[in-house]
Formats: sequence, C-alpha cells, structure tokens
Amino acid sequence: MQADRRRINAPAGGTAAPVFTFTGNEDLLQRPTRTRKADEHRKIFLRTKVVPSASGSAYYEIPPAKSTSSNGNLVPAASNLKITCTVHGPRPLPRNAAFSPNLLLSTHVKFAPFATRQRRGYIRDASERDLGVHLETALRGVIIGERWPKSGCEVVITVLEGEEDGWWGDQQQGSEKSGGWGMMSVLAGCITVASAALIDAGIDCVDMVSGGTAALVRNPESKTEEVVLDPSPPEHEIKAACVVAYLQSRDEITEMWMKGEVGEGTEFLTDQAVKSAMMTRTVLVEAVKEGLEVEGAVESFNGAPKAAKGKGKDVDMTD
Amino acid sequence: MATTSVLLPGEQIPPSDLPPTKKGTLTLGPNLRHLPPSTILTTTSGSLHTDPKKAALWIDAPHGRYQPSVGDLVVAQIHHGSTDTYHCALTPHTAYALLGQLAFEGANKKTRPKLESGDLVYARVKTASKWEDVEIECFNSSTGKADGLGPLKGGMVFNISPAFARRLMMGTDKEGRSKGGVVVLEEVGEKVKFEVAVGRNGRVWVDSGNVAATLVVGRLLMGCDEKGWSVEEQRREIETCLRPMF
Repeated sequence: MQADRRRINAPAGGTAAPVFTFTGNEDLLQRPTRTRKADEHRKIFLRTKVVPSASGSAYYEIPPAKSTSSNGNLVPAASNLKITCTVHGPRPLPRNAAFSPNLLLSTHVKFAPFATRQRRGYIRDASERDLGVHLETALRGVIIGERWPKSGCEVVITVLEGEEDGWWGDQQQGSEKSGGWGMMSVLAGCITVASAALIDAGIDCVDMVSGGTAALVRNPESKTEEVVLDPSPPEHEIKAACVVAYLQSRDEITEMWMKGEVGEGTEFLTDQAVKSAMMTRTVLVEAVKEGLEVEGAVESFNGAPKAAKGKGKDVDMTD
Repeated sequence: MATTSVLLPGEQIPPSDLPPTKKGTLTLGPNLRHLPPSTILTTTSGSLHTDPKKAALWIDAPHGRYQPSVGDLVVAQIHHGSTDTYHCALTPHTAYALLGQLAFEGANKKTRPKLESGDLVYARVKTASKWEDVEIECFNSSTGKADGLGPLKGGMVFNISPAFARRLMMGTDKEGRSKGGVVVLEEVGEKVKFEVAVGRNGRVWVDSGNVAATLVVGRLLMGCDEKGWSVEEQRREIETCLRPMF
C-alpha cells in the first residue's frame, strides 16, 4: 500500500486500549463459544433513511451478544458488525464520460480506521477494493440499468466496526489486512445493507438481494466437522466459508465467494449459505416496509404517517 | 380509484388484483415491468394503485424523486443560458432541462424575454425521454397562448415532495372538496391574498404582498407535507397560524 503522504497518521497499532487484569482471572481468557444452534442467525438491526441528504441510505448492525460472564469486564468477547451505506443517484455522468446505455454502478467500500483491532489507513487498500468488486457483482445482477442511460449511481459503504478474523486471545499470524474469515461476514452485511439503501433510493430492481454466509467448522474436542450459518470467527475454527448474494423470488445467485478447502461438500455449503440469505431477507423485508410506513405510503390521504420512533418489532428469521 | 397494498421489488401482481379490461389491454404506470406473456412485476417498493375506469395500474413510490413526463407543469430555475436556449434545473443533481428562448408567448427574434441565471419560470414539459435532455416550454405550442406559464417574479419557492405536489394539483371533485385532501390553499385564500404556482417537480412558488403572509403559506404547505395532517388538523393549524395576523 502506498504511503499516505497527505496526512499525519496516528501510530499504527491496536485500536483497543490495553486491559490490565489480575493473573488467574480465567474468565477473560475464555474463548467465546457459540450458544445458538447451527442454523440460527444472530439478531440483525437494519434501518433505512438514516442519511436525509442522500438518495437512499441504510444502517446495519449485529448487536453485541450479551456477555455470559458476570464480572463485567470491558473487553468484548467478539467484535460486532456495524455498516452504513449511502446511495447517490441516478446522477448524470460528467460531460466528458463515455456514453453508456445502462446505469453505471460504482461501489466504494471503506473500513473506518478504528473498525478493526489493527488500525487501518485512510486510503483504500487492496482488500477493500476487492470487497467493492464483490459487492458490485452482487448488485449488478439486480439493478435494471436500461432505464437510466448516461447516468451513474454511487454506492458508498463505510464499515464502522468489522468482524474479526479470529479470537484476540490466539496469536494472530498474518495481518488482518488480507482477506480473512471476518471479511466474508462483512461482505454479506454489505450486500444486505446496499440492497436496503438501493430500494430506499427508488432505483428499479428486479428483486431484493440479500447476503448470507455459511462455514464449515471443525469441533476440536469431537474432531467432527459441521456446517454452521452466520459464523462468528472467534467462536469457531473455520475450515472453509462461503458467501452468497441470493434473489429469492427468482431463485438466483448473483454473487458467490468461497474460501478454504471443502472437498465434496461444495454444493451443500452453498445451499446452506443460500438458507442464511433467505433468513436475512426477512429482516430486509421488515426494514423496507417500516421505511414505507414512515413515508406514509400505507395510509389514505387523511391519515398521518406513523413516526419511526421507539423500537420496531422483532422479526423471526425463517427461511 | 381504489385498492392500495404495499409491495416490494420483484413481487408479481396476482391476476386477481388487476383491473378488468374491455379490450384486453392494460396501461402500466411507473415502476411496473411486464414480462410476456402475462407476468407483471414491480421494480420498486411502494403501494399499488388501480384505476378501474382507465384500466391502469401503477406503483406510488414515495421516494421523493421526480421523473419528468410530457405535459407536467413544473417550476424551473434558470441556471445558465447558451445560444437560443436556457438551461434550467428541475431537480438538483439531474441533467438540465432545455428551455428555448423563443418558447414564450409572443416571442420572436426581436423581442425575447431577458431572463437571468436564478430566475424562476413556470413551464410545461414538452418532451421527456430517457435518451435525450428534457425540453420545457413556457407557452402552449398549439394555441400560442401562455395559459399562466412564464416567468415568476418575486415571491419565494418552497420544497415539497413530488407526491404532495401531485395531491395539490389533483383538483376538486363534484362537491367542491379537494380530491387530494389538502385544504390549505383554499382556506388561507379566504383570508389572505396570494398567488401560488405548484410544480410537479416538488417546488411551490408563493407570492403575497408581504413577507409574513408568504412565509405562513409556505410553512403551512411544508408542514402539511412532512407531517401528513388530516383535513381537521390542517384547519386547526391554519387557524393557529393566521390568528396573530388578524
């Protein structure tokens, strides 16, 4: 990555403050374990219209799991995912741009410098550009581009807190800047949040695309392998993982990213990732409908639109 | 006009929701896509409206984006002029609309209106296609008369959503009640004298003799749009706003 010469950067290093604790406090050094079932997803918070000045916007968060230990230490067991997306467009292309008969989609994914345990830079590096390309592939299959010739649409994603690649208590070999297992959950979240923002912006879509992940994990005690949905990398020893972007009404996959050694179970892993995408789609549907209620689409002319304050209802994630 | 139901992108309209047709042809409005032979899919989220009389259906998408269509009345602001045309902005961040300098009532090469950058005009959309720039005109090209179109002097422009502008322009039904459910303009007009021009692109121009009355009318319209007041609430707000003036 080229050196950033325009800024005086903070010292490279960790983003979490050091925590001093008594030796023998074993709770702190417990690797977190997965308490949900193999086909259960973590709860997702998704809301649209968070940025009033953009054509469309959405915010996606996987809230922190409730800590099982009672001594209230400040170090969270696992990181959580916080993604915000804004969509600008369709805007006319600049005069000197080449003619394009379809909508020109450009995606930008950026991790905030404080988003991961190792501080990132301000300039996009290769892994962020890679995520942008994956996201563009996922969204290109769902946008109807021919309605907007000579126009462009920009999808800007900022990851405020990214998933970790592994547990911080393990010795981390290799830098986090290369694509680890955490990037796959981030990509699935980016696809879902970009889909919500595109629908909020009113860009014509063939269907609603949602992202899902599945991973092949190895249980160290029983030495068996199983496939789990929505893996949280600190909780598992991941052997292979798969991210898909799935259109449920048309039963199509627009984007697939698989990593690791699966062997013969490739199709099964993909199917499980599709199942995870169907579950996140239920959250997406609720968020879009809630956004419509706020705008007053669901009322007659004499009624007032319901204000989107307070908490929305919880949705059961089913496939 | 009847039946609304909320739909998401990619949903198929069930045949039972389609209005009955006489000749077997349906008119599809914005945000609907037809896949032959008989599938109709939505492309955005919104509520579905049907009109049995015209055998038409469309999606009312409250996204706040105005798309020009032929025959719409809009309030345009002139950005700059080039030879023979003014480039006007209908909505921010979109391509400019072209207004010919001779597209005014009684204009010829010797006498043409002198409009500066920033002036407002009330115009009608002449042509709108996705391939070309939008063209607007300030007179009725078939009769040659202005019909209320032309430059707007003085006053102030307020931003409203395109859906609310559509409600304002709906007109009145047989009993004299406003079809869009907005009584602000009529009720305030009984007490205060003002001129108003509603643009389908989400702009409304108000001009009264004094600043206070203009601001009151504009703020009432914007409040009605953002908060979705019913007719009784509108009457109450009008009374509270007009009381200090009389």
